[in-house]
Amino acid sequence: MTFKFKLNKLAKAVLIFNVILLSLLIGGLVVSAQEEEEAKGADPLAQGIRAVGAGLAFLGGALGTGIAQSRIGPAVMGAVAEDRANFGIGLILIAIPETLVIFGFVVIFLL
Amino acid sequence: MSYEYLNARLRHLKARLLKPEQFAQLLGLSDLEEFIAALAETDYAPEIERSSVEFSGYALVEDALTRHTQRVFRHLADMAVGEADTLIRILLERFEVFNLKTILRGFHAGVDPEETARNLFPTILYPTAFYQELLKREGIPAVVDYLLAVGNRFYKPLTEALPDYEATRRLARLEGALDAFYFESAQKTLREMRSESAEIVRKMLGVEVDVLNLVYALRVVEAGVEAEEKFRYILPGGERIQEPLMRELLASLDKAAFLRKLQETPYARALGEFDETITAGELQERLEAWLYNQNCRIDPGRFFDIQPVAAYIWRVNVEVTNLRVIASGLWRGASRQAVEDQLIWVPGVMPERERVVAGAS
Repeated sequence: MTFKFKLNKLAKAVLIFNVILLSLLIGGLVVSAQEEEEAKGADPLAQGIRAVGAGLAFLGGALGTGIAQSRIGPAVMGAVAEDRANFGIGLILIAIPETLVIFGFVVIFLL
Repeated sequence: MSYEYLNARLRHLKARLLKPEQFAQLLGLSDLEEFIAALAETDYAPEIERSSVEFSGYALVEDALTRHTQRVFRHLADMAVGEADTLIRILLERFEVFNLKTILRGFHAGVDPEETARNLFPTILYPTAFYQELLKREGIPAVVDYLLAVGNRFYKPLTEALPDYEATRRLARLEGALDAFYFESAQKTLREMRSESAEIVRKMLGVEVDVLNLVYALRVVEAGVEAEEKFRYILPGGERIQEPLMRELLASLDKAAFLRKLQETPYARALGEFDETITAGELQERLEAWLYNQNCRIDPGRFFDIQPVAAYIWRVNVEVTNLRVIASGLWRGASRQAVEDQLIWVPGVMPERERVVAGAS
């Protein structure tokens, strides 16, 4: 069985948004790390790479969340359209992928 | 198009389909009134209630089944937009073609229009009034004229095939023209859509074309037709048997040669064991049973494409057809065996036949 994965429009929009957000975040982290290191006198390159790593960790989580939510969202909408009692469980299902972003944040702080 | 949205909503529709155990219960009934009462306990309740105001007996069941099928298909069509809407319309148009063929067959055989009307499948693309008008015509040429007058697209293949039919009185000319027109136009649209779901529907239709072609081929070989003309009626767009192989099958010198070649096709497994005594009717039965089985059960685990919708449409077809068979059997006082023989036994949709038979005896 083959599995073809295609991003729909919403997923693409979320992806682009996340990439922009992450670029800004990574840039900001690198600059702040450099400033901090310059103040401490440590190797700014090592600090910069660490910041990039933190950004990548966030990128993975954010991408995963975007893709998952772009698929769960319409499914929940459909389930709620048929029966409003599905709203509560639907909201929980939409929120679950957010944990991936939280993992990304945790990694940033660990680094 | 978000199939996640459509398929999430579809789950609710699917949950309301009759369960195999409910069919087993309906099969055990001995009276049409009991059948109506049992049906009133299911998702058919609103239609049974509404139809009972105007009708009684078998007419009530007929009316309720028609209204119910139209309700669920309309609900399905209303849920879909864009690509899914087009695909659903293509899948539902099969039933319109089936109805047109049934009407032509009725006129050809001189069947009472009321009886023909009972064999039409409920549809939503063409209104019920359209078929009522067609049944009021005086013959096949008048049916074709009516299609032309109302701008129905199927007038075209029928107009082209009508002189041939009038010369030979062979209904297959008209039926073949309708099928060819439907399958060709549907497959053209599906190819242009260039999507995974369109490809799924195209393949489903292609398998149906294969089945129709195989049955046609065996009939031709059985009848010993040698004229070159027989090749003209091969339907285009087969999925697993391309035209050269179909021509080869049609060119078989006798039935034994045809069946030997058939063993080498991908459909040999679907047919199970068979020998030279198999008739075209039996071949058709086996292939159709396989087709129903395949198409009603293509959806497990699918959520991101059209397959759950296609399977649902096929299941509604099986459900309504079987309910009609049971109700009609009770109405006509047919034997249990005769009713069971006419049912479409799809595992998961219907109870296991052996168990039902054992329970009855």
